[in-house]
Amino acid sequence: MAPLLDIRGLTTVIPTRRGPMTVVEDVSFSLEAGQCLGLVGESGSGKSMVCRSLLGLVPVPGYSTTGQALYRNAENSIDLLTLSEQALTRIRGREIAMIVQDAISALNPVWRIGEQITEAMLSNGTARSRDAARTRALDLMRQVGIPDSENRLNAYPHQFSGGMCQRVVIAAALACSPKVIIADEPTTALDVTVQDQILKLLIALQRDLGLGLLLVTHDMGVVAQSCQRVAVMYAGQIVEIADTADLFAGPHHPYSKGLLDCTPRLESADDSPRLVPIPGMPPNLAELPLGCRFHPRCPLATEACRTDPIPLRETAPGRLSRCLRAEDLAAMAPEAVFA
Amino acid sequence: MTGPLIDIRGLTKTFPLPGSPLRRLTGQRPRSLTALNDVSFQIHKGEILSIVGESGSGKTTLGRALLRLEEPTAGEVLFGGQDLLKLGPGLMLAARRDLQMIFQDPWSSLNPRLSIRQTLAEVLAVHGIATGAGAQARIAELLALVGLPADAADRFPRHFSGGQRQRIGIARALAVSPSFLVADEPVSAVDVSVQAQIMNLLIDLRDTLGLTMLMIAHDLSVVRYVSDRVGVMYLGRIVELAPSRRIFTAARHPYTQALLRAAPRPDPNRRVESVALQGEPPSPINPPSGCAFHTRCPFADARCRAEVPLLTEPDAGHTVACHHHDRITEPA
Repeated sequence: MAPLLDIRGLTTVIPTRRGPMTVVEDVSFSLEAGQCLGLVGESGSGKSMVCRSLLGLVPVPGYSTTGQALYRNAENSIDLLTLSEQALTRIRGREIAMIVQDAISALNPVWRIGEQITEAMLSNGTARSRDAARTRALDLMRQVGIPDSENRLNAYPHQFSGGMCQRVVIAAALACSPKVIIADEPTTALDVTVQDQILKLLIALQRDLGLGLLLVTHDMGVVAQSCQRVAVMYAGQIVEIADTADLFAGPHHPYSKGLLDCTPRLESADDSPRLVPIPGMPPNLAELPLGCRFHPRCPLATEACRTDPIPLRETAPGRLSRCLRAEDLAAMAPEAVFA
Repeated sequence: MTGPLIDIRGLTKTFPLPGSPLRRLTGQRPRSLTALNDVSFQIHKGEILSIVGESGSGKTTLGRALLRLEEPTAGEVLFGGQDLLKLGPGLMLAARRDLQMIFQDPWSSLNPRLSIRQTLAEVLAVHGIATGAGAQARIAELLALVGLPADAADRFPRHFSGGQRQRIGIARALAVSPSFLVADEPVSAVDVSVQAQIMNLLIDLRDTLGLTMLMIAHDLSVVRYVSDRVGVMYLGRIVELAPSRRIFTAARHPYTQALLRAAPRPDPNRRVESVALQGEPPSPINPPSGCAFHTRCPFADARCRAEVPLLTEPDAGHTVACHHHDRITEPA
């Protein structure tokens, strides 16, 4: 089956006072219908910029994107990066919808909940009448677990909790029956028990509706619980792509390994465990190191890692890594890497 | 064990809410929000005690009320036999040489117009600890202690990453050589790869300086790596407090168990399909009757709706506030 989204060599450059800055470099991945792909990385890794580049929503005037972002629906294949603003408007919401981290500020505080859910349906003609839109909104609210939907339709966002607002945002995203959902840290701002509810809701909807879900997160726990495949980003580049189970069983990039090591766990054999940090900190995009961008923090770095850019290469069937020493890493004892 | 370093008794904090004109006209009492409701526990010398809870649980108010950054409404905070809440401003300033705080947000808790040297020198001067050459030597020592290079002193907060700023915040707290630190979500604004560095730094400082710490967190998995004991708060009350190992292996409060189940496990072979806990924390403005957790609790019955459960101690050192704790030993 051809993927819904096929991103090839996506590069995004934004202007800054100190000149152009490449915030996303040569990012390639594909997303199939019914698949959940995790895009994981820390702040500044470019994961949100990838999402925003796809929909022409980079919040910096004068930015430019190159590469290809092919979106395929039943009829044809469209390169999102070449579309006019008008053409993109027809894609957003109807074909590809986005869920952002901060649901409370994503909603218009002076609009009723019902209006926020029906707005896109009415403006792009997905719903034929106000009544049809209202019926659909009630349906969606039930689907995302908003109780007492008849009454809540007329409520305002400030009457809703953060978790309920995120449910409204999800309902609005689903309103025009998109094929792809891009969810940018959809649970980060929520309490632990509510985060769990929203994540499971999102995964259930994705599975039931056969959506392609691009799930952006910084949390390896979220990836493990929801994604079939995962792309790890560091300093604007993808450093590893693999099936989730394979990556967790044995990462092919030292940064992925480091992320797994420093993720707190609720259980382990050790009674008084210690977190294993990655030394140093992520680089400033304006002063990127030569060669591999991770080499200053990498315990495996050699001379070759410090000079030339490292290409993303296939290290096993279905697995890509941007590391010269991926095979050596795979052969090492897990606890010996970041000792 | 030489008795508690800090003994908190019945600590309560209510915030008045702005009254509406209608309420005033109809003679209704102004509403208030009880952020901390009769909280009592002890912190032992040299331990790291973590308090975990969701938003609205009162965990941040607890940390701030302890140091009187929020003036508590009732209760006692005994430190060295003295009730901190009864100290006048001069004595309280002196007490703060022993009691310091690390703030959650490393971006807003540093003055952007002061260099790191000025930030630290200010603390040393306010507390009359050192000026001039003595202060400079202490500043160099503090930076080394938190793992920052000596040349960090003459840079400004904007030159540092979140993790480094948090180190500066820790250095500032340590400047007065305190014996007790409140760390309010010290890593929640820091990237994962750096979070472990900060946690390990706090453990090392505890060990080398003999510090005692109260750590506030919203996430159980992180505190597991640093805590000797863990307390769980829900809507202004402590619902369970036990040695860290017991919280993670033998939690008895249904809320603690739900928090443990809700944390996404970094293990794709152990996917959990079911939701850990339905509903959301109720508003502390209008808390449920009886046990505040009864609206979300799978074990709740009539008694839970009517009667506030008291903290009991079913096992030595393990306290829990649940009417049904004796039949809840296994996770629901």
